[in-house]
Amino acid sequence: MRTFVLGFGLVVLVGGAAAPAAAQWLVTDARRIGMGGLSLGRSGSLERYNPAYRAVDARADRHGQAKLTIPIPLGIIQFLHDHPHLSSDPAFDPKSRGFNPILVVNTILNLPLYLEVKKAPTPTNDVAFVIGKDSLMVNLGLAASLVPEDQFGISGSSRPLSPGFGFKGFRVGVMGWLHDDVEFQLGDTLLGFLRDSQPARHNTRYSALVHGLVEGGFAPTVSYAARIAGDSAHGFYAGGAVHYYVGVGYGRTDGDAGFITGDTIFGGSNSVTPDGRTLTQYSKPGNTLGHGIGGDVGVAWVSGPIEIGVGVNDIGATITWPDTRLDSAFYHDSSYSVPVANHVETKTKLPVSYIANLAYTVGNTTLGADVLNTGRGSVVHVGGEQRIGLFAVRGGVARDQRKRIEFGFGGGLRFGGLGLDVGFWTHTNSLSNERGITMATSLSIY
Amino acid sequence: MRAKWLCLVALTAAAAGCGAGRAIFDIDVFSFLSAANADTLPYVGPLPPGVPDTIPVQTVRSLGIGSSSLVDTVRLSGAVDFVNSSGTGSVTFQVYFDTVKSMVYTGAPAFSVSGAVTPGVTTTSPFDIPDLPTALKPLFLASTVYVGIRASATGVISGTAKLTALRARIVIQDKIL
Repeated sequence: MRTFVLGFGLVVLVGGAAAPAAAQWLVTDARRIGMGGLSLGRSGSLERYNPAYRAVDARADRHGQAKLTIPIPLGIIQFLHDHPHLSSDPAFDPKSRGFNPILVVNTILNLPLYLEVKKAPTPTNDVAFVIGKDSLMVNLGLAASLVPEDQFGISGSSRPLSPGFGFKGFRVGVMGWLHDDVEFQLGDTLLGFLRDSQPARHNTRYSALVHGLVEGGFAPTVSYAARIAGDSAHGFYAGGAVHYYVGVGYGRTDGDAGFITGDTIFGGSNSVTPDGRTLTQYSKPGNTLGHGIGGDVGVAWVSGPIEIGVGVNDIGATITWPDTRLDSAFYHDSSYSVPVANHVETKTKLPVSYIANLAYTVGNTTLGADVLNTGRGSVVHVGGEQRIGLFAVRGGVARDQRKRIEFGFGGGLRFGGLGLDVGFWTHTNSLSNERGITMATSLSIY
Repeated sequence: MRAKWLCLVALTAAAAGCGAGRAIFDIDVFSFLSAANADTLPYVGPLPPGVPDTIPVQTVRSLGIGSSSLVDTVRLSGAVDFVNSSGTGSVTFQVYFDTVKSMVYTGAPAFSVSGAVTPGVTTTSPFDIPDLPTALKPLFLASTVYVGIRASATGVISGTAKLTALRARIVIQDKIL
């Protein structure tokens, strides 16, 4: 049962951690963290999602943008202090009885780069199970609120590599692309049982919908970005990219799985009957490559103290996979898998991502906001920075993909071309609604 | 109790049992015994040779959590009716637990309930064991627990010991996370 418990814990953890992981944990700039994750200038997400920003000057003078930011991973010191013998730590040893995959996954999802100033508390309420021959009821107490009512999961669309060369605004290159999407949704009966403490019913199906997809490949790309009007102080920038997506492989499964209760809740040797069905489709590496065409567009307007940008990625990016195999799997008392079709054509679609940003700089004050949507809800950042001589004070607010509000604050000290920044970021983990605080530090070279 | 069901009920503990919170299992053991007609046991004293004073060992699928968890308390409560047919004396009702079927009746009972009986009278003996001995607690972490009942008589008496309620409240300090 421990396996099941750990398995469910992993699902909750991974599902719940996906949003913060995407929204904040890959940020290594303490300055940005101090502003609630806000992207300014060519920093952060702007250049990734808005092709016009490739032509916008970094404008270090206006945004205090560093040429190079080097994170100081104080969190690793803390982590090694907590786990001094990592190689022999049972929690990280899959062969050990004390192996804790939840801790491992949590460590991966929340890389210990930052110093954990205040840990997010986990629920401490009691969980009660009332069990009889023909009755079963679970009361999770306050923790019931953590059982997701809606669809939850992980989704990401990334471009791991993008080598290329450019000339006069044009750029030719090849980018890698990777798209993953995992979703779960509890059925009504299971939701009522777990969240609302409803007693288990006879002859009832308890199930959850499951969807998983991963696909990847590379894409020869031609892009262009330039200032098409004005000058560097007052200019209008536009950019675009056309990608020819080449799919190396993909796999997808859709189904629902659960079990059916019997006439008596704990009757007989098999009181519940596992029941599930899935349709799996895949095109393995080595099969005929997938293909598709899509593009990115973006514009940016810089006018004195104001900067506005909008970028959209992967428009129309539908990948056609000409050599796909489809299998249907079914389980009820016994299992079997049936090939549905082979060497057939299927299609997948990359999620359209968009970003919109606004920045206002006057004197030593910079204020900004951005909205980023990578296909699974929007992340909003609002923040600002006030520079006072050698010092800088920062603050910001973010709303993550789970619609939770997080706060950032911090400061910096700059000596000529060298700066030291400290940023604090509140965060919630997937098992608690209370916030913890992490501290990021980084060195900046201007 | 069935492991599959318990897998489901325990998966919910993953969402909550990762802190200092406890997992509390309130198990109506009587419902399992009565469904197997193992809640009633005749007694007679002195016991004639060859007549058993125990029930066949009953199998109960328990929590199956494993040794990484710590059982804090195991509280047993319930009641036994001694329906006495004849004679005056006393009856001792004993409950045994073990994870090895053949060893159920070889060890000490988990608890005992005694009652004085008189002819034609039903004596109800409630019991409330706040906490089982420490050595017995880990038994309930196993996936299977075997239960046995013995009714032994003192005096020249005969009747029936009838279990009317038996609940186990198992509190676990979960160390899964």
